[in-house]
Amino acid sequence: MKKLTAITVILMLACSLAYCQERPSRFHWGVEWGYGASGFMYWSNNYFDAKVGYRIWDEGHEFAFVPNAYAGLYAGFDLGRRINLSLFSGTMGIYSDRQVIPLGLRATYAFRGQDSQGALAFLGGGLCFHDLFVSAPGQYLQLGGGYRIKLGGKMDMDLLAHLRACDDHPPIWDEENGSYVDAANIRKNLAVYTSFEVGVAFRF
Amino acid sequence: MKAIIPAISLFLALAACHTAGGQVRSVGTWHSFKGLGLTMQSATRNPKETNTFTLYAELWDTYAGHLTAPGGKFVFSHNITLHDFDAADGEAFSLFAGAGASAGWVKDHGRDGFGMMAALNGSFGACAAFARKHVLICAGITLEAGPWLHMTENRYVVSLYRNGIYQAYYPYISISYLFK
Repeated sequence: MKKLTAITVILMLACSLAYCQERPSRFHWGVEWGYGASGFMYWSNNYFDAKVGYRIWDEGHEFAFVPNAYAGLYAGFDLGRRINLSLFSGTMGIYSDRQVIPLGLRATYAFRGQDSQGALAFLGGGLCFHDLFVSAPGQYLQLGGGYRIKLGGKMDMDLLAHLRACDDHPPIWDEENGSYVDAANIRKNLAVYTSFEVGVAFRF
Repeated sequence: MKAIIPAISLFLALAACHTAGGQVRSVGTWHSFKGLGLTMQSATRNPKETNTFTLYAELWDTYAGHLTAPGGKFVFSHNITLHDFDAADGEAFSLFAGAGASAGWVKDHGRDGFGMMAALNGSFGACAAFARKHVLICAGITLEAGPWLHMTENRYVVSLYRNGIYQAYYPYISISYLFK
């Protein structure tokens, strides 16, 4: 939660500072949220089970419907008439009982120009941080599109849809012992989640 | 879950009836930490007053990362415009306050299982209407005060619906298609 608060404050400060610049029209910030459902999931775990005294290798995949949501703030600059590069952060549900704090970049291509109403395509990616388990951060990649509605003034509304893949290093639940595996005994804990998300963004 | 389809059907039927009567002002989606749903706003004889009907799935614990079956709630509110800001170029901004009633099959704070809630509600918020784009965006908060009927140890118990108060500060935002 502290990370999320810090990131939010940094983004808001960046927004405020950038608004003081002489060329505010190239700078844009926004708030975005959305909903989605996880689909394909892959996991690969390798850990030492102190109780049985040998290493456990667990690998598999499944299709699971897990609804989730995400919300965040973004801020960035128009690099050209059609391309915008933004920094995004917030909170992102990636699986059941698994929420992360994303920090990533997103490139958005507006087919009719960033300041026009029309279709969008975007590609984004970055890191996923989790407060509850100290480990290497995960990574996410998103690919999507949408439609921008110019509401008037400096306010736009983007209707978005995207596919997201996220790798994560979640704690490993040991069913036999009824507890999480100690982090020191984990050699590998990789999970990859894919999901389809729809969202809304207000861009200023 | 089985109740969701009849509930949405009832809501759409209500919307269709109002549309046929030419009273519907907007139809759209309703977003909040409380849940996700549909909302409809209808006009009244007084242009300063509107009726809002909202049907949403209660998803606050899903957003918190816990996968459980959602509850559902229907909210009616009669809203009165408190102040209209100067409008220009088809844009209109206003503040509103409203009162109405809510009913639903929902969970409650610190309690297990579902129960039936019925409450009076009060709302306060702001709306931005972009007539040229047919978009209406409203944001606000809603307080609900009423009982929650649930079964515990094979007997019915009535208690205060805590989430109506605890979640009163959860803001909502609705994004709707604005009819002319």
